[in-house]
Amino acid sequence: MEKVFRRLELVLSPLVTVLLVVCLYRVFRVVPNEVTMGVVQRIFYFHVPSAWASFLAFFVVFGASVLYLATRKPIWDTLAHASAELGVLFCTIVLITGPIWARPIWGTWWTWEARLTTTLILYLVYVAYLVLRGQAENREQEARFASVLGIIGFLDVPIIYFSVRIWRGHHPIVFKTAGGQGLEPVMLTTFMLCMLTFTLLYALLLILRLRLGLLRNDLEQLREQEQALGV
Amino acid sequence: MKNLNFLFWGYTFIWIILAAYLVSLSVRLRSLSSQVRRLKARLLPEEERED
Amino acid sequence: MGVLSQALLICRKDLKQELRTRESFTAAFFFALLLQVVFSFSFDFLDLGLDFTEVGAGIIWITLTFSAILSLQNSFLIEREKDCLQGLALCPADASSIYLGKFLANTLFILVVQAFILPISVVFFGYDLSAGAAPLALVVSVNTVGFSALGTLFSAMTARTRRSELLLPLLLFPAAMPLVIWGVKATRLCLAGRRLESYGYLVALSGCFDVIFVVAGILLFEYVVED
Repeated sequence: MEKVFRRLELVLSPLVTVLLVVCLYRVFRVVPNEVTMGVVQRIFYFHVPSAWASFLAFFVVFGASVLYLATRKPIWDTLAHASAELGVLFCTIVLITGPIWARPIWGTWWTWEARLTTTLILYLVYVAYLVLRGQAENREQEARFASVLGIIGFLDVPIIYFSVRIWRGHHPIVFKTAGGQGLEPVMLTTFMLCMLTFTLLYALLLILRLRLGLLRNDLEQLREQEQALGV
Repeated sequence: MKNLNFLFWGYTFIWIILAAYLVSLSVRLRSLSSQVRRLKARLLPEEERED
Repeated sequence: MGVLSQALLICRKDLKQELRTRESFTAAFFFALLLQVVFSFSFDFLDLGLDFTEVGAGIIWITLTFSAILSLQNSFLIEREKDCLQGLALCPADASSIYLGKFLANTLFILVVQAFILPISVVFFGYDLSAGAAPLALVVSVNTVGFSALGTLFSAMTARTRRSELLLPLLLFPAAMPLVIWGVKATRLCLAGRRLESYGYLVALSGCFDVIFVVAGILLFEYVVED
């Protein structure tokens, strides 16, 4: 396992680094200025991919939770924990860049707009997930409870988004360049590149965090051995 | 270039958050690795003694 | 013994216990009452010239949800104190019937508290409920069912953790947020005198939420109580 991870890390780290540099270059030098929002709109190129990465992460939590309850193999629980942490990380990025983008555009730091509100509620659900993990009686119970929450939380995602949309109404954000044609191809390719980059970034961080989780499992096993030997 | 300030801070925060997480990961990894190593060292001779 | 009859048995056991001690009702009811008093000071309707129908929905729902949490917390705390949780897990009843029984009992308890609190809020805040009483009861009931469905599942989990009092609200409120959102909107329209047709879709949405999470609860509860 370790070897596969090391090899993946070796491949992904330089790849992600290069992609990030390319993305930054495109975002700051290549892409044209958006007509209504000006320079600030460029945050979108990292803001939306972060949201996508967090959604992907929570989906992985869901999958891993189901697999854990079905097979009871600890690796799935470790994966769920790792992915949840990353989901919260990317959610944090969305919740910080969102207001920074909103302030100059809408004049206020926070607005109870559908997507931001959904992200905030999701954030609370998965932060609660991480807190729950710390408070269980034992490892096995922690894994079971977390899996149940991981499944419920993800089932809730579309419902929460839907409910906030109904409540708030839809705020469409249309991007226009000087030509007034909507999303220009340059912007689109840059955006897709950023989406790919963040997906790979998530994968890389997941492997690193997974290594951490597996190490923790090893430590626990050793501690059990230690107790068994009466040392 | 209006609002350049916000753009700058937006991206800066992204880097800060990512960097902070990487640092936290590496700190935790290192601490866990050393704990595992120490425990292994303690347990291995014990096991040999048990045998 | 069918799943449903087992569930009803467990529900009856909880009901009998509650009728004897009235612990859960007392705690939830008086807490809700207290909240209403606090709200009457926080939003001085006469002074501010506020129409209750504008903020009333929010006040009602904050009161209902927070007092419901107390009932839910109590639901499994009793088992924990008397060490009955292991007994529950070992008893021959299916995990799903335990869940259903607990869920039914919890829903009933919460609804009873609400049935007392809502008329009292009419007295406190002096709003007109003559036309809207039945629709309001519908809105409140449908959303309570969903809140209880999730709450029963989460309460079973958190009762066995440390810091259980903190964890249940932390878990339940974000997950049940859609119910609060839809409930408040429907209540506001109801209090404003609108007809049920205009906000019926919100009740239907809550109904769907209820179905989804009762089913989820039935399927997932066994993983929570196994030992």
